Amino acid sequence: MATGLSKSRSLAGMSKMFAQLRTHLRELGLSMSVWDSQARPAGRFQPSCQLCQYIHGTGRLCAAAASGLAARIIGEGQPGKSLAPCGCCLVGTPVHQRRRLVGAVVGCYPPREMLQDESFARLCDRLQLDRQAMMSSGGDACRHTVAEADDFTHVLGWMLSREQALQTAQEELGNLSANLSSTYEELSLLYAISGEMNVMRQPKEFLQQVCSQLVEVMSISAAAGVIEAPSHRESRLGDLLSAEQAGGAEVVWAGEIALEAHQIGALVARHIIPRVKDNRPVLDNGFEPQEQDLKAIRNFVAAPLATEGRSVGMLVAFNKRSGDFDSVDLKLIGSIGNQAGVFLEYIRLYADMKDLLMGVLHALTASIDAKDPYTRGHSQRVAMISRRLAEECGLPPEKVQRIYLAGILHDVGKIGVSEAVLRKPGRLTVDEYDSVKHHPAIGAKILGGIRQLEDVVVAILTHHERPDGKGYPRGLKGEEVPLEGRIIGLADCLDAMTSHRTYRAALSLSEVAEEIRRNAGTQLDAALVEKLLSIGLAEFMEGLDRNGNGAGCLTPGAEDAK
Amino acid sequence: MASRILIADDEAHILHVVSLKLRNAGYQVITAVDGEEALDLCMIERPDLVITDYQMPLMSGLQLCKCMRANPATRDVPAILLTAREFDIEPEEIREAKISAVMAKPFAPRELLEKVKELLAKAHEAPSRPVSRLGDP
Repeated sequence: MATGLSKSRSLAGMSKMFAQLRTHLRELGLSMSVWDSQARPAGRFQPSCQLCQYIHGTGRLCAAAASGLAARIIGEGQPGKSLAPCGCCLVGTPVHQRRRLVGAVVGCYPPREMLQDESFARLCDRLQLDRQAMMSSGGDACRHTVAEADDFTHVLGWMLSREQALQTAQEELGNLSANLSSTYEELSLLYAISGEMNVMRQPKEFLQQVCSQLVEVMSISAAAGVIEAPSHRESRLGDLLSAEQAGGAEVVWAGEIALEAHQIGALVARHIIPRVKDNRPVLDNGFEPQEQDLKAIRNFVAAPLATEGRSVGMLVAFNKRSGDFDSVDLKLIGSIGNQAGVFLEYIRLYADMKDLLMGVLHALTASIDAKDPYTRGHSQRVAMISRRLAEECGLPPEKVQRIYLAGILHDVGKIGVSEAVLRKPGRLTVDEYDSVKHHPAIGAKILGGIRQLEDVVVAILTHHERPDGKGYPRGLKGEEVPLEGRIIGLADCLDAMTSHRTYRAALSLSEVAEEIRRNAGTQLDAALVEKLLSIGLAEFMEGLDRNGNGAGCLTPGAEDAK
Repeated sequence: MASRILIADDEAHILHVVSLKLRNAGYQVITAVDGEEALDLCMIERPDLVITDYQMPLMSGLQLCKCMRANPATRDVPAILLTAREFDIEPEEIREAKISAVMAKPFAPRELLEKVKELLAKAHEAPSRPVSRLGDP
């Protein structure tokens, strides 16, 4: 019939409720005792009332009577009442837990009739107590009559069921609140991680933040993340970690963990990666590794950082504080692993695209430099000078970068100028010079179709314009020349003057300073010249090399480290 | 005639959430707070579908389903197991208890409702077959 375990017949967890009940009954003038399913006293038996305590010392007679009533109640499964030999009234009701009888509660009070009884008089005589005195003090204790016992039986039953319902409701509320609270935490974790997804972030930094957030929310001792280094994209993550290749994979963590980076790497490689299937998260509540140094890990959940079926890293949560990990934890880390995986892939793609772009552009300009050896490295140098000038003008970083790009590309139009003219050792004829003057327009035309280079095209088109309007191709005047064009124009001149040419040697810096001062306002923008001279040419030129971007450097990527 | 669904879970808030969702969808809902009560109610109320937690006092959801399968009156009632500890259960036991679906907590009430509709529709299609295996045409 009953298939439950024996402990289901216990009064466990009800002590607080009984305490409440006891308090209420005391206010009514009753004392209370609790009995288990075998009619044994649960807890210390308290004397039924002051009177009994006083008269009978330990209240043993009441105890025996209460025990008897409890046994009857438990046997019949019904509430009941009785009269003790000492004269006290007893009322009782059964206690149920999960539809099982687990005990009984018995209330006891001395009725007023007791004071009038013969046995009471004899008792006072036997104990040599003054009966009158006893009767007056007893009047306080005896608040009810025997006739009220029936009502009290009902009241006791109602009070017990109310207290039980109240306790259950409180427990449920507590559970619900705890559940809700942890759900809020999980939500806020997901919000926080979305907030961290800034494409300017380094992958390692982002992953570190994710680990910190996980530790805060998941109630774990530590979290760790591993991610393959950018330089090792073709290798499998497991290989990178196992081989302990220097710099093959990066390891970050948060929380308290008695492991070093390479040990975490080993853990992931040997125990986690082999268990991941279909890029789904894994869980282990009974982790028992062979390796001594990994024994500090009791359990974990882990999720791969993956997109397009390829895993670039792993996220792991260690040692759940409250005991075991469950599916809530698994889903959470799985979801975060997914998001993080997509985001990290996006960062890489973005970086790759940037690299690709710069590589292609450098190749493009190198093709022009190949035709004209004297201008090899010229575009790079103009770009660097322009960048520095733009910075000194206080332009924002994105704008500075665009001007740099324009510097790289400013002479792209020379591809439309004949090689014979470009390589001519002596002075150019008027016609030859005219053909060269087409290069800004040609460059603008070549790149004009690329929407993302619109601003760069503007700079290319205007880098030979002059404040005095005598420039080309359009003869723009003063402020009509965009700032980018003016900057590139000055940079172009600067590099030309400081380079050796077939028809003259490089000018000394003081000669250069004099030249640009003389041409300020006419050929060169006066404000820019002023700025340049105030910094000092020597200081300016030296600053370029100090950045490690040596003149004539053709390899892309170096300047992107800036 | 509305379908009757029994939900068993020792966590009151799960009972509340699922009851609400199902009642709003027009089903009659009976609740139980432990496996034993669930089995008793199953026999008395004969629900059309049972949703049960795995870990419960007195009798687990798994045992509940096994008992249901042992009784001809409840043998074919579809059952959904809701649990945060799916990985603790052997797939063999799930098959043996003929549990139609296992949903991991946290579950979306909407998804649970979809599953309930799906299983009840399937049960309706083949009411007279003695033992119907899900997946049979």
